[in-house]
Amino acid sequence: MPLRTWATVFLPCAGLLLASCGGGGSSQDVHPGQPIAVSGEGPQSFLVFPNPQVTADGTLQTDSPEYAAAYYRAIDPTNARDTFAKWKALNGFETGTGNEVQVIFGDRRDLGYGRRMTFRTNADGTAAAYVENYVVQAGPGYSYASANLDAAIQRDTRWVVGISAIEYSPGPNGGRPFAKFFNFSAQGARQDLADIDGRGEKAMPSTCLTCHGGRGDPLTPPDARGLRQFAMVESAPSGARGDTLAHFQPLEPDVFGFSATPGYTRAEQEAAIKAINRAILCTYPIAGAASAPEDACRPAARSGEWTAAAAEVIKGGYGGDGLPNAAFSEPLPASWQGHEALYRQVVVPACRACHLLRGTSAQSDIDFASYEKFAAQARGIRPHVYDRGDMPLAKIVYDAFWSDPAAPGVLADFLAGEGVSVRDASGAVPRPGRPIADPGPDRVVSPGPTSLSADASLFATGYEWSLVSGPAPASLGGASSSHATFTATQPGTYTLRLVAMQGGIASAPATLRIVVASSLQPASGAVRFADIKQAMQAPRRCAGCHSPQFGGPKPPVFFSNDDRNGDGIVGDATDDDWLYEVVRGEVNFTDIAASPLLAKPSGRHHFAGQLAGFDASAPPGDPSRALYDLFLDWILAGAPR
Amino acid sequence: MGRGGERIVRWIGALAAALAAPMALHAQSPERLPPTIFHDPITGEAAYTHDDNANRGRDSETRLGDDVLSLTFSQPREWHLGRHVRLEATGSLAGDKFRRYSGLDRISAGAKAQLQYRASGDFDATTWSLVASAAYDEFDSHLRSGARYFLGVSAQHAFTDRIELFAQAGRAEQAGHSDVFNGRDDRALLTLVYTLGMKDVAYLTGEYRRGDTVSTGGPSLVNADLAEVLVPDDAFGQALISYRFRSRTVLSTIGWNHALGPRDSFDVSWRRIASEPLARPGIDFPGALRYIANQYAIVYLRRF
Repeated sequence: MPLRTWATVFLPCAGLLLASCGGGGSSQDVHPGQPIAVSGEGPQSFLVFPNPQVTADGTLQTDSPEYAAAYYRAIDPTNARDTFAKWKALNGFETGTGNEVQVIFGDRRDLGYGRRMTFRTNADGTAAAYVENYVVQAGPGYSYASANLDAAIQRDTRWVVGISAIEYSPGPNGGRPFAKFFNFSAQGARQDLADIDGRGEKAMPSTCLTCHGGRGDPLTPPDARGLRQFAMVESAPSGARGDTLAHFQPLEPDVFGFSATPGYTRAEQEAAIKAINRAILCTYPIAGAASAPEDACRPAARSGEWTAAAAEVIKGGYGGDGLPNAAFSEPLPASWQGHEALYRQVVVPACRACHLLRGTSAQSDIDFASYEKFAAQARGIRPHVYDRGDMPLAKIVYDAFWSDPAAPGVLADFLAGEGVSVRDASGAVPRPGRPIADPGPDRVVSPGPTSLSADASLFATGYEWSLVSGPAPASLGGASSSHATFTATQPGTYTLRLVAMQGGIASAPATLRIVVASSLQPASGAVRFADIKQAMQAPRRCAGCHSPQFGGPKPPVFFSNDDRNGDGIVGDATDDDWLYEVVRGEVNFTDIAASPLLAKPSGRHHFAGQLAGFDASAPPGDPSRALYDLFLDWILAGAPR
Repeated sequence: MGRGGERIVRWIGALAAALAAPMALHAQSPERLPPTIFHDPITGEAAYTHDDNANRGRDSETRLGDDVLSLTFSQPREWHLGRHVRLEATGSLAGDKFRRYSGLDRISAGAKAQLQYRASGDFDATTWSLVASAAYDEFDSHLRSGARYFLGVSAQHAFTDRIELFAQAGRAEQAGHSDVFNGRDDRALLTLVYTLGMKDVAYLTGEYRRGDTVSTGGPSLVNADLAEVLVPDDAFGQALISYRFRSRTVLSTIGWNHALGPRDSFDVSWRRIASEPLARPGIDFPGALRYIANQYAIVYLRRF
């Protein structure tokens, strides 16, 4: 065969073969040190407040660098703690004083880290802890792996994703100690933003507060320097900005991963874990006099303060008063007897860690400390867990819940028993990620055009509005868009339907009832903050309790006219601007019906129960819900100043 | 078995049948056969290899052995380009079938070209070559499939009528669908061939490679520390990761070839592969960092 013939045969074959010869990369490739590739499908609202404080431009204020900067200005106004080294020095670490304990464990349940925790207590009752967090990228995605724990033990700094720190100390102006949250990079720089779950950067302190019981209130308006201040939680015993009512989490070694390496086994670290839990207990407020020695160090709870349900987990875990047991063991609280599967398969692994630190003594059912409290939240559980997918709150917990063969069904069956249907027609438990249509709450409007929004729909890329019924002809513009315009001139009740689409998948239709009423005052769309403020400050309304003058349990927000900016003048225009932000902060633009401004006075988990004019069960336009309709109208218009 | 595996089995079966037919004919009436069946002879190799560490795992817990059946056909051609220069080109087709880890099943097609120079026809004249080769491997494991290339130089020299030395040095590259299997290394090889009488040849090969190596093991801290890039493996199961790292590798082969007839022979060999990372992780770790694999091969070779 001549050379030319040979080449004619082999070279094109070789060319064809080599043309598709790989050389790219697989989507599963992991380049250690580079950000973890995150799938954009399904729920993504992990470690975000259910009400993230949506601003006028659509961004989330609690997840903004500005929020973090305001927080650090509040708790560290001189930037004395802007590096890890400074923070450690200020808290006395490695000085030979105080009492320091170290434990190393795998955070198998919550964040997946290998954690190297050092906890320090001081004679004056203050405390501080820092945790070096290790995540080894030994596979795609973000999950717990024993290599993370090995990295923490070896102190393999290549895999440090950040250093979390909590300082329990008085604020800049003194007062009762409270928990302050910091995050430092592996290099020791304080971070406004941190990627703590492999899903992109999120703002401090929100990413911590969401599961440490902290509140996510809005910032104040900008001051003369253009800087917004962190919110003042009016019920905070410290009286300090930056006290968000957050606390240390108890250590639950039953859900930790431990190494078999000598020196790092659970048995060898049990005493140190107990010492830390004992120190954490000392930061929890206690109502009434201490009856056990381990409670003597706890600060006295003020009226309405958090009831420290977490204290019962610590005490129960060590055998009750006196903490007689050397090793922690997860108990079954008496109030959960008879509901053990729900408690152990759902509540403990998926809910309790974050809920345990929430609530106040005036409104504590959200802490899930008893079966009755959990059952009281049944209606709220379904949308969060099965529809929105924003709970369980952390990605690993979420994945564990949905990969558990039993947990989603156990919870669904419990909800069914509470009258909340979850399963679909085939009996299957639906998983978040499917399209869900949400046209917003039923409402009363004035005759004329009304803007409709499907933005609250979930996991949807397309929309279809339709007019189902009405007493007279009406029109619907933009019926295939997220924002439609409904126009009716004749009074009466109109029924509309919204279907949300995700590719070729259509949601179940959602119904919107619109009552057209010609007698609305103010007309729909014309409600302003002044109308809302007037309604809130009327006798026997919101400001009756939500004010410094109230003698009962102090609520976290005040709606009264106060000297909010501390200039010595009560109720001036600046105070009014600040009040506006506070009230707007009670609106959840991601889930309008769940806005505290609507839900609380309607009697949902409200210390004062349902207020007159807020009967949300009545049809729109009914006098018994006139105030609800007024507030809703303001919210639907974007809560204009 | 995946579709690729089934395809390989069918392919190997067809090749085995093609190999068996002329062998049977040869056994019946060898004296009437032409020197080869084809005008340009084709070399066929059928091999069985036991590999005690097919995944190139570091520690005994993750070392996975397997047995491989292979068939290879190649056809060399040469062209004299001048008094001292010739070009030799070889096209080849090959297939591997693994007993346990079918993801490693492979069909391969490639070509190799050598531009050779020999100063004279003297017995002890050295043959110098510029060598280039390219091949495409289609594995059952999608991540591994891709091309590989080699460019280098070689020299072949006979010292006596019994002792011959072959040396080669060059750079090899491969490209897979995962970045883990995209790598390159520089390598040098030395083979000493010793002829034992009319029918037997013993050979000893030492090869040194410095560059990228892939190992498969558990998602441990050490492996992650060593890895430049890693991927959940699709040949050994998703619980293991394959990772690429920089290493020095020594391959040592000792073998014996026995001629069965004028056109076929039998070959047995033992190859030991030892690979050690160039960088050590800054942590304590159990066991050794290097991996060792042993390959024991029995090959039947025939020219058609």
